[in-house]
Amino acid sequence: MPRRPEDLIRGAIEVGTIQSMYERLLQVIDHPLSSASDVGRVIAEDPGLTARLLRLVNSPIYGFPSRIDTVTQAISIVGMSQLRDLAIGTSFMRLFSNVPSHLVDMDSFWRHSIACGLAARQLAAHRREANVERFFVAGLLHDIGRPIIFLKAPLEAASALLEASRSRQPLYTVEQKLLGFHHGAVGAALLERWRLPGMLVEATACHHAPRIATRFPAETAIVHLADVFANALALGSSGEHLIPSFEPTAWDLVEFPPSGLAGLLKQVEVQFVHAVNAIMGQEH
Amino acid sequence: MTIPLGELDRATADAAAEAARAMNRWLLDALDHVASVGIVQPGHDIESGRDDLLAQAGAALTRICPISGSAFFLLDPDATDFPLAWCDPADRRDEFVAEIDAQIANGVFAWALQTNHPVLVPAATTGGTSLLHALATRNGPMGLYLGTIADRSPYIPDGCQKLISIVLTSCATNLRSEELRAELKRINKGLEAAIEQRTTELRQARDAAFRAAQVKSEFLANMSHEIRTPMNAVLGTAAMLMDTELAADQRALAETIERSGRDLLAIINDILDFSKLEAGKLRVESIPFELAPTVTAVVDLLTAKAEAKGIRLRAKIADGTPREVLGDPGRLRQVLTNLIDNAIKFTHEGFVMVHVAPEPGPPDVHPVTFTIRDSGIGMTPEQLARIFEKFTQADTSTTRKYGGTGLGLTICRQLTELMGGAISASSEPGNGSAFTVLVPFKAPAEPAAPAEPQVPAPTRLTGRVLLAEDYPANQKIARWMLERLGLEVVIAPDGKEVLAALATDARFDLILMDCQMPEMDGYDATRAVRASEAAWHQIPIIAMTAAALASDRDRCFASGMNDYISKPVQQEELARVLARWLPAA
Repeated sequence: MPRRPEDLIRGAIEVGTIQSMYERLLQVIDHPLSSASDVGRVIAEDPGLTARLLRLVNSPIYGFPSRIDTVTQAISIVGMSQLRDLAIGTSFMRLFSNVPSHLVDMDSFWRHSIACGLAARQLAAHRREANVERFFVAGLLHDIGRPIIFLKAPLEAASALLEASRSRQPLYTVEQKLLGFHHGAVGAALLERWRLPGMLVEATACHHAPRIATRFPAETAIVHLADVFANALALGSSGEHLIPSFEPTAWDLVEFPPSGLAGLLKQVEVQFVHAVNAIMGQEH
Repeated sequence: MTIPLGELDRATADAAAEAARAMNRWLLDALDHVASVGIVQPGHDIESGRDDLLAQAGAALTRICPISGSAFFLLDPDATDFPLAWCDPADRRDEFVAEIDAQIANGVFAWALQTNHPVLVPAATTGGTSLLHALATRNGPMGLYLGTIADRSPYIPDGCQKLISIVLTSCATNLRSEELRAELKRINKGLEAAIEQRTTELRQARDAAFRAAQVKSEFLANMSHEIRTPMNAVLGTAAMLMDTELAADQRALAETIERSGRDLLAIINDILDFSKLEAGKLRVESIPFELAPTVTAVVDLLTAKAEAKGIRLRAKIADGTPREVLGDPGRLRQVLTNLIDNAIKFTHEGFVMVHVAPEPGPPDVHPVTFTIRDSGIGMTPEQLARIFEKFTQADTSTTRKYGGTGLGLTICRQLTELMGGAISASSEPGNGSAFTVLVPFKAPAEPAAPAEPQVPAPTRLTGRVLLAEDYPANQKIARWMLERLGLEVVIAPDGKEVLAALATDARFDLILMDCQMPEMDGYDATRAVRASEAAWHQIPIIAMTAAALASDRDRCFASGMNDYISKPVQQEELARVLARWLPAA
């Protein structure tokens, strides 16, 4: 029986080649004088990642007027931190693509994550945040703890699923009861170990209770709302069968006009198809 | 040559440390440039303030990255256009406009406007690179920055790109606050103008209301004055009538006329006083006088009236009451008369008591209370609460039963307050009422002139009197009164006639001068007489006026008159005043 979230992530993921790319990306990130070509060079070493990123930035989600052919060009147009975050987010997805689980459909899991990422990105764009891609990545990774629970504690995960379905409670409250913590804590422990930005860590840890976020309350509130929207739109599922309970204070913090909600959801649905094709499509 | 492995490691470490130091220097330098952006001199106008902000941002960007030219295109909300607002160098203006037009055409402009980070694209019109960055706040885009870079693939590190965003975001925020500041200024100005206009309107309305009230009071004063003149004739004629041989019933009728006339005159006097009080024209005098004789005179005057109703009227002056005080004896007499008269009016059997007593006060002040107690009908607490309000009697049926203007107590209160005192009342229905007047008299600096001895009025005088009076009825009455005193009378209807009469017949001993006359009034006539070189220019002139104020008396003396008698003229009073200037028969 696991005692702490950290017990679950120990030796959780087989990383291999991705790790070296990831380590070098982080190195580039940590250097404020790194340039577009530095980041481009690292990404270009992974043809699969390069193809995914170019598909993504050329998709109607971005709507750049002309075709973007190279990663360096993509960086100068989408922004360096932005593209770097996208690279890390989609690389992370690849790490989990082969989680062997009969409990969760990983394809459906990532669809939910992409929908949440798109909703978060839209909310951030409305607030004219400098790096909206980081919100996309935050949405993409917010439930990352769940496949780890499925992988490392399958018995507890199965009981949690059954209990949640029987008692009509949200899965994360049942996780909390059975394990003493829920998938948010597990995901946050993982992202922290991988030295990802603090905003991603806190948004993942607190996305079911944004009021307890201390460093990034507005960012966490955005991910919280995006998660509610993604569940409501039923675009994919992370194993949750109920729409998570919604915190009204988060809505106040994000300051999104209720009149814009229908338009935002519509846009997420349209972008969803393009994003799924770009990120999860076969590599040529 | 072989280099030991340790040496090599040290060289690598040194190089890394040097690189880190260089990076640190660059960062601190860049942050310095960024920190200086957005400081605007206060007191500038919006245009120059805006150019200031743009120039600061442009200069900072040139220092932190390899930009050779900067241009700002600001949104014109009316034209939905982005005209060039500022550029450096200024002579490359056309080049910047051409480049931005090309970036608008290929869609990069629109893209950059929506994004919040630097967008680097190949320049459309040169071989270099264009850096586009939105100038936006949370409220939306305000414009776009264009930076030209000579290099086709420039080295602009991530940290530098973030600083560019910080500089331009802060520039946008500052522009926005400048806009808001200008807007606030404009609104404030509008508000000030609105307040100014509203204040003027209110002041005008207040002045108009004040003037209207004053006009009303003046009208009342004039009307009362106008009424007094014929009243004078009515009373005088009644007196003349009673002086003739009359049957008993005829005499009773004439007495009714006389009594009713006096009541009417009292009412008019009330209204006159009240309107003067309202207009703020009533002043109190401060002259030394003796207290006891003043009170006694009022009581004596009303004793007959009380006795006629079978009521005892008594006055008691307590030990220690100051003999002499400084104050307005006329106004005190008026207040006491009013209160005692009222007490008699509302008492059907029993008594009316006047009690005068000293009160403790600071040195030089002699507070005295005058208490008028009666055994009359009394008042309920509700009635008591309202009696000092104007036009109010205990109730409207009182007016019908007892008559009066309802102004008496209001006048008493205002006169008392004018003298610096206070008036109060206590009462119970069926148990009588008590009114207390407290007046803080001053201690007189010098002894008072003894109260005027009530010498009996002489009955016969000798001399020739020139009577200046325009109103025919009053001419008749005055002539009748003067002739009864044994005087010879010549009448002049106005000031000019006075001078004409004197010029043709110099044998007059005295002029009795009405103050208000047509053509030339009494004041002007008096001045003309005194200015004359004729022997008669020193002739005694006695004023007759309906105006009762001290200031009116002063005006008479100032114009050169010798004495004064108030209208309506009473026979006894006339005899007493004339006796000072004419020999007895």
